[in-house]
Amino acid sequence: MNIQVLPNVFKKISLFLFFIGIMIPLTDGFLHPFESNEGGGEIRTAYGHLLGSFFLIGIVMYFLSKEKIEDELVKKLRSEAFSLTFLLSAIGLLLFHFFGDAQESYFDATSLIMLQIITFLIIFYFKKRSFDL
Amino acid sequence: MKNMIKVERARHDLTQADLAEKIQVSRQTIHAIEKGKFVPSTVLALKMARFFEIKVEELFMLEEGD
Repeated sequence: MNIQVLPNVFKKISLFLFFIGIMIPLTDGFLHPFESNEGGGEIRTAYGHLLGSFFLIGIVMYFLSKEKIEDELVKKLRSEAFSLTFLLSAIGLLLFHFFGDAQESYFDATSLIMLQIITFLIIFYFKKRSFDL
Repeated sequence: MKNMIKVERARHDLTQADLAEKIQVSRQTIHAIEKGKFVPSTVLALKMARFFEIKVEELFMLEEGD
C-alpha cells in the first residue's frame, strides 16, 4: 500500500509551511522575550493556533509527499523506517511504563503521533542518505 | 546473490543513469543492486533481464549460503 499520494513538489511547500510554523514563534520569542500576554491573550492564542496549524499541515504534507523517483528501494527504506519507528515507540512506552511517574500521563495523543512522525522522518532521511538518495 | 548487471551494462555501453532511466528507477537503486546492497523484486529483475535480452538466471545467480 502506498500512502504517499502527493507529488514531490509538495515537499517544498510543506517545508515552507513547516518553517513558518516553527520560525515565527521562535523569532517572536527572541524579539519580545518578556512581553506580557495581558490584554492580548486571545489574539496570541489564535495566532499560536494558526502557526500550529501551519506546522501540523506542513509535517503531514511532507509525510504524504512522494520522492522524486518513487521506486522499490525508496519503498523498502520507507517500510524499514516505519518498522524502526514503531519499535522505538514500543521501547519508549515500555521505558516510561517502568521508569516513568505512574500518576502522570506520559504524552497526549497529538504529541505522541507528532513524535512518531518526526522520528519516522529522521530515520527515513538517514536511511536515504546511506544510499545516497 | 550476485549479479551481472555491471557486465551487461558495459556490454550495452550504458551508464547507471541510462539503465535507471530505461527501467524507471533511480540511479542509486541500480548502484545498490550492483553492489549487492539491495535485492530487487521479481518484477524489476524480469524487467532488467528483458531489457538486456537474457534470462533472469543469467543476470542474477544464487551464491553458496543463499
